[in-house]
Amino acid sequence: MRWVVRSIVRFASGTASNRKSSQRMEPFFFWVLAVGLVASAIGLVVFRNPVTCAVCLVVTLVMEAALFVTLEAFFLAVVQVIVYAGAVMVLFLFVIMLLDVKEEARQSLPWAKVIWVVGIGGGAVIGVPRIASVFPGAGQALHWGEGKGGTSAAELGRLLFSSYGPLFLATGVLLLVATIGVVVLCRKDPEA
Amino acid sequence: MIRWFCPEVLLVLTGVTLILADALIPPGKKEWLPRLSILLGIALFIFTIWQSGQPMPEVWANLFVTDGLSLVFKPFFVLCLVGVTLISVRYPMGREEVVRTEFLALPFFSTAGLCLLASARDFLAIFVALELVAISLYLLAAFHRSRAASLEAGMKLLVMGGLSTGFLVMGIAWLYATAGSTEFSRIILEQAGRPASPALLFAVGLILTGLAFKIAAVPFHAWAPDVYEGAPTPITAFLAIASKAAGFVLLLRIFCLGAFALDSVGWVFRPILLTMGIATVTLGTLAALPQRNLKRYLAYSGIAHAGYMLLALGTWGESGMGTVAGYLWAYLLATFPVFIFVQELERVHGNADMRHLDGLAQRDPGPALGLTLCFLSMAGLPPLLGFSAKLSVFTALWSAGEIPGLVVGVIMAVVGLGFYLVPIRAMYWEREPDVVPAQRFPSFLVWILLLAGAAQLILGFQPRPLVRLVEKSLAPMVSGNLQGK
Repeated sequence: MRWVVRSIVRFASGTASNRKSSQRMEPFFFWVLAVGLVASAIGLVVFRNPVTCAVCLVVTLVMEAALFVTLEAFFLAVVQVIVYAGAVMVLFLFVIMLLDVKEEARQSLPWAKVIWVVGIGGGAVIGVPRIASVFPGAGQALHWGEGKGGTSAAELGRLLFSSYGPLFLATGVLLLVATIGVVVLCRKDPEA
Repeated sequence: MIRWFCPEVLLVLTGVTLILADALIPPGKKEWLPRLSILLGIALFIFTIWQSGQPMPEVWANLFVTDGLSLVFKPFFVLCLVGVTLISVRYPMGREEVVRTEFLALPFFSTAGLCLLASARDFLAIFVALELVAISLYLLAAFHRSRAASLEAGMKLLVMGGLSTGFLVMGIAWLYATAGSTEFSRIILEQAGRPASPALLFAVGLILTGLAFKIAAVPFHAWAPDVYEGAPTPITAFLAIASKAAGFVLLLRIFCLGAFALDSVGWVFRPILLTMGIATVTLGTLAALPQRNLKRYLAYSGIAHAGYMLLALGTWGESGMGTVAGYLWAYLLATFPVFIFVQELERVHGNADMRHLDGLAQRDPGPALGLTLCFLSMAGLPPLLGFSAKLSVFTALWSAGEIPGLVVGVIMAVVGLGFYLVPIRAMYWEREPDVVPAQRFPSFLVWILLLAGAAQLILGFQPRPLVRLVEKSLAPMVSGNLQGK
């Protein structure tokens, strides 16, 4: 137990200086995070109470961010927490406040669905690594930091504005369309 | 610099201009905006034909390509846009008979996405372009807020579209993990000459599933009839023709030209495509028989057509690819006039029920004749354009030796003749209802339908222009594109 705590502290205190130990710890963290991730994702689908679902979603997103950290994609992890767990979730909560939470929560748990979802989720946890082992790069972890480009904000930005510039523009148009759509669908008709 | 004036950029700019004009011009002076949008659409169509051989801006080169397929299908999509704008202007929105400008502007954005799709050479580009198309379509399908059916259609399209995008993105992620790239040419280089790994096949399957939703192929077709029925008619036409064509252009690009045009992948996916094609043709044809609503009927007819194109795609060769390209143009020419008619029918009668066709030939012989020719062309009766399209599917199947697909296709073409005769019988042999609506069809409808019917006949006898288009679509690279690299 003490070893685990010490490793966590050492892992958190700096990956660059303690490269070896962090790499040894990686499978451990991966499995903790992966099991937690899948479990909370299953909870998100299965629970009836919208607030519980929202909390499950937050847990899922944060765990995913933690997975990004273990892959040394720090910028992605931070963006994940700020954008998804922060901004998007607040929007979700506003929507949930408009729902009749008690009515939704009163319905009992649909057990058939639970079994299905747990079965598929469990199958995915067991099966995906099996299939994934046929990947050419399987075995060596996919470290963004060691590949081309890198994961710092500067490098991601450079990629975004050079090779993927047109897509960045297209995404801007997409967001514009979504904004227009929100206005169109929610605006009151002038004379009504 | 001049290259920046490509259709995609201009389409987006036009959409933005229309919306800005709507916001800035004081109310009461906006009557000319619908007319302006039609004019801009036509101008863009001419520009696209003239310009689509030009390469796109250099900085786009690693994401987009200008080749035969994009050359033939960018005008296709912009032509769809012109048609949709033409009938959107007359869409009966509610009490005040004016259509809101957003309804005219959003298709421009959607078409920009479609044009990007037509020349994408990277899965990331496909994803962004597809989302641009899809989000505009969700909004447009739900645009008629006062009708519950329209909202339901928008909601269904949103959920099914989200699901299909999920499959597609999952497939792209697996593909990236397998091949280490999302660019078509790199994937081909990486995978050529070695047996396909299970992970790659899984990725291809997921991507195929995502696209099968878009083209409404069995077993991912269930959303189509409801959405087509509920959505505003111009948007139904856009979904049925442009969105479906986009799915096929992507399938052509992925399976015939790039990324998965490999024997190792084809060995597994040819039978799957053929089986899907057989199932889609059969279900589309048989389920169309009992339909009484013209829009649902066209939805099932579209499913059946998608089946024929899937069969052609399943032959996995150049002939199959050319066949699909030609079939899509024939489908556009035969189906769009019918949608124009459906909208006018809705204007006159309030809905698109097929009993409104009873005795139409006695009241309006012109539209009835044009419609008959379009329906017969869809059925694939000999002198008409649809016959050439169907025949080329069957020839492709025959020369590829796919006898089961050929047999089912021929049987279903015969059965299909039966169900395309249903509206024709109603128009010519049913008695006219006692209560005839006071409102008549506008005179331009007569001319459009007669023109469409004549086009079916002329192109049926002389399919040379279409053949030339198909040949053009097979050209790998347009000259002048190389200098940009």
